[in-house]
Amino acid sequence: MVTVKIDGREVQVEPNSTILQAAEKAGVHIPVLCHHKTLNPFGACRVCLVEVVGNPKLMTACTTPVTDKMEIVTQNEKLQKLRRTVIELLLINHPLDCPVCDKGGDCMLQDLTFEVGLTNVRFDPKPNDTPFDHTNPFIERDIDRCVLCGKCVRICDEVVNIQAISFINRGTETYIGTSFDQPWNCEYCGQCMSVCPVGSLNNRVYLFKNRPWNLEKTESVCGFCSCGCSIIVEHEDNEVYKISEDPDLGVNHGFLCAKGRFGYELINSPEREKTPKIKKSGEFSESSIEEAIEYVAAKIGEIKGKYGADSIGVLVSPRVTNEEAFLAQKFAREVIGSNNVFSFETVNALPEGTYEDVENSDNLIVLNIDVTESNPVLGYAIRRMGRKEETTLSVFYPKVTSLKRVATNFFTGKPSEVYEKIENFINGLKGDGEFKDLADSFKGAKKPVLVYNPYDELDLYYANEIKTLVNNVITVPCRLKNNSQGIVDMGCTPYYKPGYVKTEAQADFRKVLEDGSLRALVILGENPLLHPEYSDLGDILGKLDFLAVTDPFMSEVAELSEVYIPVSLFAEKDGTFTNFEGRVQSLNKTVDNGVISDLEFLALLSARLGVNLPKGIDEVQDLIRKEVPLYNDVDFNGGTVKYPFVLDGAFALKKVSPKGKGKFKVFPGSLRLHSGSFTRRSQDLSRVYAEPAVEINPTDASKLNVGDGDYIILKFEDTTRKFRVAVVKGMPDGVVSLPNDFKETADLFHKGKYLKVDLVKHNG
Amino acid sequence: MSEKAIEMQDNQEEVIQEIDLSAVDEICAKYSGKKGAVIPVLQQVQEHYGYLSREMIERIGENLNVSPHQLYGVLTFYAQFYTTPRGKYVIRVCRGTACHVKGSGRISEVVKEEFGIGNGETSSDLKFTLEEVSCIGACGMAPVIMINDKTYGNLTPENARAIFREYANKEE
Ligand code: SF4
Ligand code: SF4
Ligand code: SF4
Ligand code: FES
Ligand code: FES
Repeated sequence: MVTVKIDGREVQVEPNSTILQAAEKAGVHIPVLCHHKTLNPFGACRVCLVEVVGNPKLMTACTTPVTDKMEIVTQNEKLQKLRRTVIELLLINHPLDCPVCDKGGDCMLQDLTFEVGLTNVRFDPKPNDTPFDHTNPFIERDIDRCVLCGKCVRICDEVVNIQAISFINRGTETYIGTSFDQPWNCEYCGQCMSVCPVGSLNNRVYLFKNRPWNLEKTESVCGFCSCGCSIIVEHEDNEVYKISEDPDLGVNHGFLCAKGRFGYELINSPEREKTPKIKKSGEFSESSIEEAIEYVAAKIGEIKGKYGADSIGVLVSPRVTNEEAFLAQKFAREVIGSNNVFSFETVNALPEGTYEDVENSDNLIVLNIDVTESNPVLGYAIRRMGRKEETTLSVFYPKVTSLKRVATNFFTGKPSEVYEKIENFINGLKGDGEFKDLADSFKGAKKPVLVYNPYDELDLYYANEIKTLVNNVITVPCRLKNNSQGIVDMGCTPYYKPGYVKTEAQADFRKVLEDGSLRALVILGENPLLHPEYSDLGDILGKLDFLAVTDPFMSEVAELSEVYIPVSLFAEKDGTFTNFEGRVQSLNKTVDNGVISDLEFLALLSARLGVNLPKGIDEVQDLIRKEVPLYNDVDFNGGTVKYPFVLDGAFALKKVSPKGKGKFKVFPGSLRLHSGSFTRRSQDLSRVYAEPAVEINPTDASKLNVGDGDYIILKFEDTTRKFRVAVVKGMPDGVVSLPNDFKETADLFHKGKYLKVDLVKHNG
Repeated sequence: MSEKAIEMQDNQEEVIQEIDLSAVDEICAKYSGKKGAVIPVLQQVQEHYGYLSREMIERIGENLNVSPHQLYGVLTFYAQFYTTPRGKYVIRVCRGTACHVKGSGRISEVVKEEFGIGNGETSSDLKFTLEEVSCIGACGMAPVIMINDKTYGNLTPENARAIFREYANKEE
């Protein structure tokens, strides 16, 4: 620790702190512009100049490290004058078009101008006539407003590692742009926009919809993937206007992905249903909530009376909160008296590693998952880890992904070849073969981490092998959806009661449907038709004695139901989600769209069936603490659960055997912008990625005479289907990918994860 | 679509004339794993091809694990890099004070008259590039030009034109 004095206040700080950090600790405010706490010091704008006693030169507080006994002055007449001049000079390079700038009221430059007391600009501002750039679908760029602080360029490099924008030219000609002024294509994460201090990079989804001072800000948790990012929901009059970030909250340092930041318009989607519907003689007609609940209760009562409790089941989606999931299993097990509570989540692998483990790892393996697409913010942590000089990052995946830039080793190939390499790596861990060096370094690492896909049996098998062979390895199963972990913790599986207490009766979802023992099903938000494994069950589901579906939208499976009840989305309810780390975090209700939540639905239905379940969020949480020992002393605002096991070990080695005949091998691809169901309701995400596309490499594409954006015919067994083409470098020859959780693709993958297909150009 | 139609399409493969980028890979290979490779690689690739195209930049990026946008940022920062093909003969017309006074403006005009190119431009047959530069340190012989490494001084529009024509008529 060193001691420094700032404006007369003494403070003790770490030896390598900057003057700015010391000032923060001392409670002294120093104005900044180009500084951002998540980025490396840069020192470009000179707004933060301070005086160091005994030093004739002024110093930039954001870059200058303190030394012991340093005395710093941040406020005097000279500094004030100087700061005013610095801001004045910035304003020459910045048009004064605040009334027509979307950033007005939320702009660092406006605030700094006010702070330094500048009320008049003495120079003619430079012309403001460069057209807006709209080549990025989510971010508007006005280079005339840019003050060249470099934060956008730096965050895209240091955090996102896409390096999609750069300083172009030099001197007075400098601007922020792309190589050869190409259209601005990137990951669309919006990080650059989030740190832009001025109105140079603006949110196109929000553009000119409101003014910042009208918006109320509520902290919550993102409702898309299992990364569990903290978000700020900005809203007014029951409408969500914008999702923003706070670097001081939660696990994500203020970083978000495209879905989390720009996908929120699905909350306001005109496709949202508001009224329950009951199907009579094949036609839906609107009903009141009471009527719908009454109808469901009557049907369930009737079927239970006729066929017994086990003829009834509940299927729970990972979109619901822990509280809802807990009540759902309670409803099945206690109200109905059936252990038939299903979800499509895996129960074989549980969380172990955290973001911190990933970032501090010295040797990390990404096993056969496109993690920057499936779990984007976890992807940033892996990138930061991989960028460090002394670390080893190895990726096994069929195609080259964006981790290539930071990876030490990247192993690609046909899916079967990738598995051969994984197998060889395992042999290396056992002491021989071509991967011995990597295996040795992994084994000898201080903090070896394994990031893998817990939904694939073969991947589970290999993860388990690695876990057995390397005793200090920390595993990170990449669950997919916002509460994929929580619903299993809450016992939404026939195998475990809440907290991984084994059950005796273990029905299989497919089996009870196929053998007809299940007569009635209540589905909470799930859509089996978009799951490759269950996509064939539409007929059976449609013919059940009774099917009720709750969903924010009229989904494909909701169409088959007899009663459909529209329910609320993540921004419209309280509760908690548990992310892939096993971290429990609270969301907050911010808007009300006039529909009930799954929690209310379950409470109302149970009451109607004669059991009073709690329906206040606090009561449900008290009950969870009581009945789910795992959650007993976990802080619901960011605490992590301690799990009873990591991998349950029951995995068989089944070789990859692609189904079908054909020249091209298909593997399921992951998408950053979509999960196929929910996210497609976002017009903004769907504008950029409207339909599932076949990714193919340039050589194969030119052999087939197709280009990016063309259509191609895919033939798999007896099925022929038309898809868009996306030409990507880094896909192996003869291999293509296709997302498997879209309504256009789920059934194709029903036969297997890997397919062999023929591809021909689509004419017309 | 019949099987036959499919086959026909397979054969219709278009052969696109592309610049062979293997030299880019070779140059990058020399620097693989080394720090500070960007500038020397850009220099050597430019030396080999005469300029840096979008494709070359992308290929360098793939090799060095840097995005093309960052590379483009670097190359536009330095005056020494070119993003369009350069002529076989680069005519540098000195526009320093001494040469200016002695009429170097006229020499640039002659270049324009002869080859139709202005400052920074390259003739469509890729033979000549015109570059106006500041004092090249031979003020005694003003006005001065350089063609590649050779310096010519004491020029008049007439003898300059003769020199240009000589280059234009040179066998390949
Ligand atoms: S949106 Fe993300 S990937 Fe795109 S330029 Fe900005 S920071 Fe980079
Ligand atoms: S666009 Fe914004 S963040 Fe980027 S350099 Fe300009 S002012 Fe800074
Ligand atoms: S990474 Fe996941 S949790 Fe974070 S913003 Fe994106 S979708 Fe939301
Ligand atoms: S904030 Fe310190 S130089 Fe910009
Ligand atoms: S001014 Fe032309 S050589 Fe000096």
